[in-house]
Amino acid sequence: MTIKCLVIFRESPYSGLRAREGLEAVMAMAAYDQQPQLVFMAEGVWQLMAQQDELERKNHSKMLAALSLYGVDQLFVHTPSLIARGLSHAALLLPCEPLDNTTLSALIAQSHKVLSF
Amino acid sequence: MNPSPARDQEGFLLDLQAWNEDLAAVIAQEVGVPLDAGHWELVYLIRSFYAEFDLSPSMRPLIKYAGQKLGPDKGKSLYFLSLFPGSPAKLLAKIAGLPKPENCL
Repeated sequence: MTIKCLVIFRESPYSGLRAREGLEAVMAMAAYDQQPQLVFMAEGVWQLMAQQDELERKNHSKMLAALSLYGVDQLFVHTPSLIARGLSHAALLLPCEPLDNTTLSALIAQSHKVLSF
Repeated sequence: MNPSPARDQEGFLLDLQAWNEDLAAVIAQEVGVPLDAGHWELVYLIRSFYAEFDLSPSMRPLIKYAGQKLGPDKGKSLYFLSLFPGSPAKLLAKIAGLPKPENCL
């Protein structure tokens, strides 16, 4: 049985380990044939921006690029979070469906589980 | 060549830079998988996966990647199992000098 799981990313890619741990959780779910939906909002929208390659840490954007190979292809971005940071959809590294506050609430309401990282 | 670069308890190489083909052959011998051309192709495939995504892949994404890069005939778990019996992703990561697959469940 597939559980509708929503994973919300709310932190920037290298501020701590949450972004990475969230991604690992998603990939573990994928290994069990689950297909979680991903939402990037608040500081989490920075995970979708380019130019992450100067760091010593593992490259988060490279890992995100592997999601389609893991069968995870339902990605959403919270548009008000982008706007608040002066970012636009055009700059996103991966195709994401836009969400406003209403559609975000609806998405959360229709999910069986919601994880926040 | 340094005959014995550091490895972890399970035999995974600790320093990715220490890898070379001789070492791969030694590790392959240890795990009982002699390497022929088909094996080498997958060793380099998993290394290119790691270079592209910074991830040591589990089975499913690795097979999907193989299908994209090497064609549908090789993008099958049976093909991987025939060359690396047991747990292909884990064996390949070890031989290719990568960390243990992170989602090796």
